[in-house]
Amino acid sequence: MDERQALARLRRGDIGGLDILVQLYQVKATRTAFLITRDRALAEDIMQAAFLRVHERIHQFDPERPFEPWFMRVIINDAVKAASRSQRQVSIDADLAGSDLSLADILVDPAPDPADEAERLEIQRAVWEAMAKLTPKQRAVAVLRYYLGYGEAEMAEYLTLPAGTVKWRLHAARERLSKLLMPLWNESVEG
Amino acid sequence: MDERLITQALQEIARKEIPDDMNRLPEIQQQLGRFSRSAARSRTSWVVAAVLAMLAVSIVAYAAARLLQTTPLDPGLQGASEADLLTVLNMDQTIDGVTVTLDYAYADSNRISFALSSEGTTPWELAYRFGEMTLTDDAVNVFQTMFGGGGGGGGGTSDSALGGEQLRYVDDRLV
Repeated sequence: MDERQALARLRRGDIGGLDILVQLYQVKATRTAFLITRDRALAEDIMQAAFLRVHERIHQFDPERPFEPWFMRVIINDAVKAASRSQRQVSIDADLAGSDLSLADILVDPAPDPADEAERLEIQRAVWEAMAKLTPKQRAVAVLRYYLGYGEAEMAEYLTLPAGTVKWRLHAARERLSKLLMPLWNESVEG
Repeated sequence: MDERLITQALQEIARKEIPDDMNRLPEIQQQLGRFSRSAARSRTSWVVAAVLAMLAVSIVAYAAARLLQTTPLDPGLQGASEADLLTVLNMDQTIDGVTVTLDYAYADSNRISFALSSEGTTPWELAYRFGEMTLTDDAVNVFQTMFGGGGGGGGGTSDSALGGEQLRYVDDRLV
């Protein structure tokens, strides 16, 4: 069963339709919410609440339009709101307080290749730390751009913002990341 | 700045924290079950509340209609009734099989009115004494019956004969 059939089933009140949508989008939605909130438990809550909202408001959804932008817009907006509420930028370990894993758990690959592993981990650590220093709204545009790979027009649609606002916010996020990651790029150029 | 490295780093971090085989479907189904039951309960509560509200409105409307149909009111009291100024009380007491109800009351700067009704086989003495009641305030000032009628200014009326199964009586006093 494809997405369109799943939506049609859900609109008829068949819960089986929602099961298909959960299987299709739960991982992407949770990862996106996690990168914005930096809290796994919170990201899972956001994803689950979003699916419950889909079930509740499916009749407000235009079946002629694609489901993903509509759903991911809910995820991103809820994640930004949640991150703004908590605004925990004390330390990167503190950012993981709601997670079962430590920073080391996140950054260490269970089957590392010793040759490239040190550099790869260093980049992950630096990116993770730099993302923590962005505001939740800047982090959202960075996740949309770098993780989800969206262009500015799509970002404007997902964030329900004017294109100019998205452009400015992305510019600010990029500038900040560039400054924060400068030592890393210098190292890789020198290396 | 090499943006591909940022993309790669974010993908790896996300994949490690949220594995591909993550499955929260059972939790969502569980929450959905609670949500549906709660929504159903909520819908049922609304239906019950709406039925009770309609029933209450119907009862009050029926009682008011009955009162107005069976008890002739003078024009002043009729006007007060139409302006919804009568206070429906429906306070009753039953003694020896006869239930006497204080149906409604009304007061303005000139008059105090109230209506009594009885159900059951009303003795003649009681029917007669409806007109002998003394109405006083806290300072024991006695309110005189309007127009000097001994049986109550508005007069006593009944659905059947005095002393029958039902009796209604309207009393008006001068303030």
